[in-house]
Amino acid sequence: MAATQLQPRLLASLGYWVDKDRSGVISDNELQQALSNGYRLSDQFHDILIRKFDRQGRGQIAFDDFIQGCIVLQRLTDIFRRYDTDQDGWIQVSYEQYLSMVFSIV
Amino acid sequence: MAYPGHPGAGGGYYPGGYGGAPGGPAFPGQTQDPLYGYFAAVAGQDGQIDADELQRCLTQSGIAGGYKPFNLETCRLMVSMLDRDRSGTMGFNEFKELWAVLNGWRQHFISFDSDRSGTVDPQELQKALTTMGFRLNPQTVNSVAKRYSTSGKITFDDYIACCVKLRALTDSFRRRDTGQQGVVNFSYDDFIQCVMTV
Repeated sequence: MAATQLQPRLLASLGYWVDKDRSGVISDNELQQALSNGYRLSDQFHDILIRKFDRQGRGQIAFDDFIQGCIVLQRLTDIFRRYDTDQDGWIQVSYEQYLSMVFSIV
Repeated sequence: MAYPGHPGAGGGYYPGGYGGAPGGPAFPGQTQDPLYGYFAAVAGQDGQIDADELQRCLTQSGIAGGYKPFNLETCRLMVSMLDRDRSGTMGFNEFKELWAVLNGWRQHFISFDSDRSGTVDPQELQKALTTMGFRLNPQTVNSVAKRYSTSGKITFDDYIACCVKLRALTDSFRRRDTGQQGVVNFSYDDFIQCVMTV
């Protein structure tokens, strides 16, 4: 679904669903579980995501940072799919295409 | 394949990547380097600084000139741009690199900020990026300019954030362009990782 379609209630539900121990932050484990639904990503990627969005450096991700992460991930996936015309999980892009694809998202 | 970079790069492929500042191991006379003073004042025993400390360092050094000092998010971006070992910190040599690059970008910004307001408008941002050698399509620049604008203007700090991201994205693309063709094949996972590490 496009980021613009994420309704506030849905975002709240998303957080509610992911933050299983209701701590108000999303732990590494909770994030792994959440992202394993729908996206197939390597363990290395989970580490990178934590690093990128763990603003407080505590190995946890605050709720709003998690949402930002999901939105960025969704937009990047959408744009990847648009370029992956044969749907084989690979794209070939030039330097300028690459910049144009991602620069407005990150 | 020529990758663009800081102002004055002339579109040439630059191996070191940053404004002519020397990289590599510490050089003699480091402690006499005026920059070292700013750095040492905030770095701890480990000789490394994180984003918070970088913010303090840059503010004290006055590199922003008459402009507002850098916000923390921009400092985080700057650390990640140079953080090759993914430690979340930078040492003195990286700081020197950053300093040279920031100076270059600042000079470039000044040349477009004709009314000395500390801001540029979206058209000026596009010109600034183009003259740095980045050929982005108008839609991309438009959406970037819109994203960074406050009341239709882009501040120095946001311009720096833009430059940092472009540098980091360029680096990550270049590392994968082993054939120097200006083209890269990305798997989905690699694509996401590449972009997320910016």
